[in-house]
Amino acid sequence: MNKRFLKVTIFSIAVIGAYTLFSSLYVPLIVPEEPLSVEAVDTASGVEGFISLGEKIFKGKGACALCHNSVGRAPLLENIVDVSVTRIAAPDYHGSAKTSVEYIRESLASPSAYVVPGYGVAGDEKTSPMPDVTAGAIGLSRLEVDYVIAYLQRLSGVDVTVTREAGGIDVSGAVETTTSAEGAR
Amino acid sequence: MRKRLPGLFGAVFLILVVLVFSQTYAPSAFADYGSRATGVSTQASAVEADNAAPRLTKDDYPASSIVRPRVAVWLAAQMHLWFAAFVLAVPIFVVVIEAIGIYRKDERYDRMAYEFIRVSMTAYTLTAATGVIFAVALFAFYPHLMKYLLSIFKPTVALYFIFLVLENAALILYFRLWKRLRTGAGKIVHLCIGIALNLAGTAIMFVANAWVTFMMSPAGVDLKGAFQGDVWAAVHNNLWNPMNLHRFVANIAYGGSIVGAYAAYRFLSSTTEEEKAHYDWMGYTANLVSIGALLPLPFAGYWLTAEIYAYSQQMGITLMGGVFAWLFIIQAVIIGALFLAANYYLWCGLSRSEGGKRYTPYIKYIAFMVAVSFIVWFTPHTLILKPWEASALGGQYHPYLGSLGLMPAKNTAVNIMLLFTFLSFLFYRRANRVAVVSWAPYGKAAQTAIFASAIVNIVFLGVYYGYFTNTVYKVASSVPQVATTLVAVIACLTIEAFIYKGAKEAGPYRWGRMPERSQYAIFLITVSFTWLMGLMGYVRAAIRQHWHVFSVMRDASPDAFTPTIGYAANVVSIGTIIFMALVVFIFWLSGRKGADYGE
Amino acid sequence: MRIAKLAQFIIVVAVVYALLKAPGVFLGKPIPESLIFMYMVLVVATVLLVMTSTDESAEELFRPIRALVEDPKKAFARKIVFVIAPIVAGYIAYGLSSKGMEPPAELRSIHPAPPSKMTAYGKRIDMDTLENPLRATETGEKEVFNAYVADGAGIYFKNCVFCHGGKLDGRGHYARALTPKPLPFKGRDTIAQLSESYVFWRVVKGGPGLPSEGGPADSSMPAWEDKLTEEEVWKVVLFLYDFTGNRPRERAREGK
Repeated sequence: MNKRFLKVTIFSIAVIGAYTLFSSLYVPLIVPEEPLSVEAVDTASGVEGFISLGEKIFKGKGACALCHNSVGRAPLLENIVDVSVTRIAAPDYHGSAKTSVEYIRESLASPSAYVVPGYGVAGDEKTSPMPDVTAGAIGLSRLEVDYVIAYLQRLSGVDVTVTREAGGIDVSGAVETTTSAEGAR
Repeated sequence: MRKRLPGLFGAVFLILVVLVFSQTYAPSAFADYGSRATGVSTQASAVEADNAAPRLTKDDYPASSIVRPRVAVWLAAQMHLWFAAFVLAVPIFVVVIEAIGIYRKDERYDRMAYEFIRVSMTAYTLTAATGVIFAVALFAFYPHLMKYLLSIFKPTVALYFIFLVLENAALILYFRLWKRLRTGAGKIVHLCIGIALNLAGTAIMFVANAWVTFMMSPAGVDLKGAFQGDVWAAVHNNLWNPMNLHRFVANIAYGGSIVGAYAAYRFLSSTTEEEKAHYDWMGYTANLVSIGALLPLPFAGYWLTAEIYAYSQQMGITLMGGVFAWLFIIQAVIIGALFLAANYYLWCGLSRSEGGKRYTPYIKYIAFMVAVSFIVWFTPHTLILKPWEASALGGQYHPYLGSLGLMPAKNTAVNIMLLFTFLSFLFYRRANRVAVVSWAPYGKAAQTAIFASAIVNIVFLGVYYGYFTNTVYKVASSVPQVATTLVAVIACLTIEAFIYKGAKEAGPYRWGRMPERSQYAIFLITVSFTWLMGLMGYVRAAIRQHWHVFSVMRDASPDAFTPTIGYAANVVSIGTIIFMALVVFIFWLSGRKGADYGE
Repeated sequence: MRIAKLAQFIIVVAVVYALLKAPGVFLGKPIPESLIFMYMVLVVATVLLVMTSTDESAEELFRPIRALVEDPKKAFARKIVFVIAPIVAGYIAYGLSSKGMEPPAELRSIHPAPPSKMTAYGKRIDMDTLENPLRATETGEKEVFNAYVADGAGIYFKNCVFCHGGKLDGRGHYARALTPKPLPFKGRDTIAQLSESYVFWRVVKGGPGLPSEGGPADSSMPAWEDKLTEEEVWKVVLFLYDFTGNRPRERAREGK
């Protein structure tokens, strides 16, 4: 083992070591969001479980929080239930929703039904840059959309009306008192 | 050894063919293997009414107590990619050098080209070997994914092997006939064989790129992953062409840097002046090719990123804004180190000629500008703060440094760094020349004016569009900035060519008169390239997150989580060290026999 | 007189370091240590590269160091350096490792976005329309307003003064023990930037009511919901603005 070879080797390993240390010690550790496991979705129960799953989807699988955040890539949704009433009444709204829940559900599947002024794609205020989250890469199921709506209702400070009923989803006037019944399931 | 090499290569190749073809035409065998290994029935996932992508559970993945499946596949893939980049890049490099040799009628080029193709013959064997390991690992640990991919890409696998046979035939001819076809028309035929070798090699890469990009931006399948029957649609997905371009350009840069490291090591161990001069010249040429190819790489990267955004905004934001934001700070640090090293090599090169002394006083100003640009480039927008700093600043953003963290500032910095590196190169070229044309001072004044106005324009564009206009136009400044840089470089080079037409030499040019330190700059470039390739490979794959095939086939294995940057850096470092050790081994093998060009 | 290369090297590095430290020392806006570290690594590397780019300059740079180690005439200086250098290194290492219980650096937002609605005092409160019910007296019944402010002062000095300080400057008796520090109310960059409803929310819900972006349990502000009545909180809010001469931020009238 000659001295020259040793020098070059030490130099190379020092460079690699410097990069490794920089990446693992200096750069802040950001742990990527764990993908939501299928089992967790199936065992969710109760209104609070419903909402917390909705929050998980909002921040994780649904990728909503990538844009709907304080950076302002997309409108904030903290008051969406109240806001949706004025949106449905807006002249350039061309969807078919009658209630806020219907509006949110519609917006998730066809985002361009109403485009908030200033948030269209570049050069076209009539088209939303948001993808259809019930299909494609995000692909939320109907159940997952309900979780998200429940979470958005809680965020807006209104009563959560979307809960799970036998065999499907109901948008009726079920209220928070169903917690115990839900929990039994 | 050399006689046995093609035979050894052929054997490995045969194993590869048999292995992959057996999978191609008997995919069910692997489905069985998957379920047998775990003892759990996977009927629900393996049997679908249509040919949609299977929905897997964690029982569909064979467990291993010896290795972590993903790390094994990751390292095997990375190793194969490094070697593949090496063996794709070297022929490009060699053919270009051979062509220059023919054009300039300079024996040195031909000698260097031959030396390098000889040195890298072993690398072909290792590429095939790592390829086999990679394929075996994939089929062993991810049988369902491979079955699904093969069900779509079956025809292209055949194509892959046809190209592989062609490439090997061309390679063997190219190498064996080098000495027989040395003169006249024979040399041109030889060059054509070399070009055919490159075409076949690039075609192999394009086919493999189709498989990789399909996993990121699937096309030709419906939302459930059911194949629609059009293989070309699946091949020609959104990311295929950008990836082809990006990998092709990067391979040239990488090949140059490996040749450079080889030359640098041989330079350090040279005993005679003549040998020293040869390897110094070889290192310089290789380095020039490498850095030259590095310059357009960011633009190929922009295209790739833009296509990623266009395909899926979620993938784009994950890449640039989310978990991986810090990765680009690491990238900035490494590329900054590359630029500093390249500049340093040019500065040291001034000592090769007597005239170089005239330019040494300018080094410090160039260094200052490169350092300032570098500082701007790696200043993050969101800072890591200690509590007392956070309370003093009142937030995560710095009132003065905050604006340096934004994209327009970084684009400006990169362009200025490029321009000043170019200036180093210009000074290096001028070092030994004395202009004889009468208008030389005016020419130099014009160059200075072009250079200065380019810098003013770049800074103006960056500041104006970056901070005084609407968000929409922020990134729009990058295109005119790049255009300014290119125009300035081309204009300066053109004027330069005329000024120094028939120029006198200031003194004898002495290849080999380089300090030993300068060779370490080349080692740094090579190591950094290798490491950076590994890191960027990680992020390319990681932005799919927990998908095998993005949005179509979910990864349900226990390894589905996205690794953190620190974890990835460790894996990449281990991979780099193994790869470097193997490359040293290859060079050692060839070095034992000595250069045999003249025999 | 020509300055020796080694001295040049030291001077350049020292000047850059001083420049990087200056914003913190003179302007109170420090450049983060993590960033200074990166900058200095780059600066040292660049200066070294420039100074070793020619053989003569590299030789001149390292000559004093080599002489110190090898030259028999410098035996005394060598001994001094060989004693001092390890001590300095040890001191730096000690300084780096004796930071005590300093919390790790985190990404924390000081004024996180409030919720749009909250539940307090047994009812739902809409943050968007919430106004200080006592504020109206300021224009009409000045004496009533002054009485409210005086009440608020009494409540403040019974409850808040220990952390936020007698001068409302965030320097109460306990303040030094807390991280993050209690906010001062003086100056133009705290409550002057916030609406009264925001201040009300922060007092009522305290640290536990912060959203996650506000840092996990970082703030030691108690939730006053159970200890003060709604009216008392509003009185304190009046007092905070009145004493510091600040005006609450007006709500943007755009009918969100």
